Amino acid sequence: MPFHFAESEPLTLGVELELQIVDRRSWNLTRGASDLLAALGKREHRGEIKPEVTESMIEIATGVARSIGDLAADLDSIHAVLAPAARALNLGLCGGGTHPFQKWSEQRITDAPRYRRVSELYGYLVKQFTVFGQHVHVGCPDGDQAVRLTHALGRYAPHLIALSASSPFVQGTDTGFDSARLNAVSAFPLSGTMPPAATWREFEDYFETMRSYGIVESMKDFYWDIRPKPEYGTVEVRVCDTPLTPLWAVALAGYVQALSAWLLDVPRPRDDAALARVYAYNRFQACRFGLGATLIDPERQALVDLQTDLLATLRQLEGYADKLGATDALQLLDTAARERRNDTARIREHASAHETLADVVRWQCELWNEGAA
Amino acid sequence: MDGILGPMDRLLLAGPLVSMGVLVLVALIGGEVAARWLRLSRIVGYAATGMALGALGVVPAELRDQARVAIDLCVGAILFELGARIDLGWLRRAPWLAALAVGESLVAGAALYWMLSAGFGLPAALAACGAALGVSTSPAVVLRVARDLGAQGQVTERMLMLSATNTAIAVLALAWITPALSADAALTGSAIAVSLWVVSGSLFAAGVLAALGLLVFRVVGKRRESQVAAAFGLIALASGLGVALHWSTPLTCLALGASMRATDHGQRMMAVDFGKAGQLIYVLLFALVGANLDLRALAGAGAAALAFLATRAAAKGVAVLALARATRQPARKAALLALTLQPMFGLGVVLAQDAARVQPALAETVVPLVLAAVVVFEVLGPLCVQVGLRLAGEAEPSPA
Repeated sequence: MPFHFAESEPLTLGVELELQIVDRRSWNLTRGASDLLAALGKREHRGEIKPEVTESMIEIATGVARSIGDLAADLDSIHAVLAPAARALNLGLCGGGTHPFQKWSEQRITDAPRYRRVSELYGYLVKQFTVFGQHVHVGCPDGDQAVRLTHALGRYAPHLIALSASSPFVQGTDTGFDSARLNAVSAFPLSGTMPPAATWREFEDYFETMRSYGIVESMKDFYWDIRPKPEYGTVEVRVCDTPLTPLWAVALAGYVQALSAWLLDVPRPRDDAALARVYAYNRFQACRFGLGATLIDPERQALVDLQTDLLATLRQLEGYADKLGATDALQLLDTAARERRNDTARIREHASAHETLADVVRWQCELWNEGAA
Repeated sequence: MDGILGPMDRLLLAGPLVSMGVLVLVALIGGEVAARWLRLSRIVGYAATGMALGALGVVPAELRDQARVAIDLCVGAILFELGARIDLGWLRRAPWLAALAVGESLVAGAALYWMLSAGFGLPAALAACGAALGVSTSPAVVLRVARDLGAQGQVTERMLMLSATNTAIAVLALAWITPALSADAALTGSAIAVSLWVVSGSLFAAGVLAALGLLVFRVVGKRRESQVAAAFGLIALASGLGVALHWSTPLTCLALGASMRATDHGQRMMAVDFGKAGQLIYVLLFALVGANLDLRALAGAGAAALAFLATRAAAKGVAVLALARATRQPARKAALLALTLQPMFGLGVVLAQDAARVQPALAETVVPLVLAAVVVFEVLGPLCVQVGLRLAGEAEPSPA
């Protein structure tokens, strides 16, 4: 039985952010999600605060927003409730795609049937998946548009990876990657990019086939970088690391919104197969070198600097950003792209100025705590 | 070859060391038996082995005295670590937690004082001494069991915080009360002067050593092994000064850890824990205290000890549950927290015996009581913490 793609207002936005919960003594990840949720009780706020796969992670989600201004208001409202609760329990909250020195083997899987099942199937991969991402949902009018947008956004995934990258350290070591977080995602069999499909009908057929093998039960079992989310009527972009500040999370959402507006507005001939051929390489380049990456342009079949490509795209989007009220946000991204200074660069600067990675985490907590969106 | 030592001297020197070696090795095996077959905390095994060897007379009397330096250092290290865990920032951000910390100690202290003076007719100073010993939750037990279980969460954090604060209050009170015991059990002028000397001296030493310690930490940098070694040096200094000047070593060590943490504005101090090397501290401490226990006390003071423990449990339970709502803690978690606060301060035995030397009246009244209470809690205490943290869902899922 094919499944229904819920209708939603085009270009509406929703953001989910996975945050790190650390103890304020060692600044290591700590078991705190359930205590934090209990301490929140029934305090009123916009959006949602939810448990995640490990106890040292908490997810905050905005409601459906028309503009990034609304997103920022939701994040502020959540912050106003969550921050005092964390302070009362002596827990620190921070952004960043990885915790720089946690030991994955020490992580605890949240006690819920879905997570237990996943843990049984994937083994240590689930504990290694203690990484923190930002997901951006964009509203789509129907399934066909969602399939189209999913593929079209894939071309720009490297931009989002490079702009959001905030995970240079893993297990106490500088990996040399700008986003080491995505390497943890790549280990899963159903990760990477969605297979080619021209229409929602074709995608349904693919899904049914996978379900008939017993490999997947729902869309949640696909760990693709960008995937349709039929229950919400959205396309979900999952390549971003959780940034160090809510402000940056909002700016990234602004970029996704403006890109989507452009891609839906000006349908271009699409060669999914050409994109699929270069996708993994471009993704690697962006993870490894961030804003200094070199990409293969699938249309022109030539090398291009990610920085050049990104700046050109930002210029292209000026009109859409103006209409959507995202001009300031895109200006922020433009400056970062010019200076090649993403969160990973800031983390490295801070790490080299301090003796321990615990100092870096303490600073990350300060940044997140100050940074109202 | 013989040098200045005669054969007799050699034996005297070697004797205590030999029995200490035996004690450590046997206690380690006892710890494994407890952990693997009985699924209890290892420290229960250490303590039980110590008690058994002590009761069998394997541990010579000399060891009990000569091991005092080792016990002092072990206790100093544990109190230092605990003090360094007192996060004044947290108490400021969460005033209700500070209220709980003070309230829980006061309620327990008052209840025990009332029980000892009204119920057992002890003179004021003796009753106060016994009550102070009952206020503290054993820092060694909570730190060790929390670490063995890999426990993380609010029950664990609050347990450690409350153990730190109630032990600080107990140690401060004991430093104040003990001199009064030697001065005819009355608060004469000289006793107050001695109390002042002990308390202010200990705190002064802690302040000076804290400044010195932070200076040393700045020099050695943020390297865990170096900071642990430096901390050990500071603890040895604190103990030595305490003995020489009749200050309270436990008070100095606890205040040292706390003030280093509180004044570390440059974030020089790492999260000092004695980690894996710390295992030795716990084996030594629990086995030695176990060997020091006189099990005959159980026969004489068993019933009184049970009354003492029941009063203590009730007082701590009432205080923690009454403030559960204000401290944003579900009632069930609060009850488990109260359970984890039960372990008695093993150092109480040592302190009580010290005090008994000065004031023989103690030897007949408070000492047997404390001894019996500690005997019960050397076994039950770790179990309380273990059960409390497991039921709270804060222990590592796999068995420790």
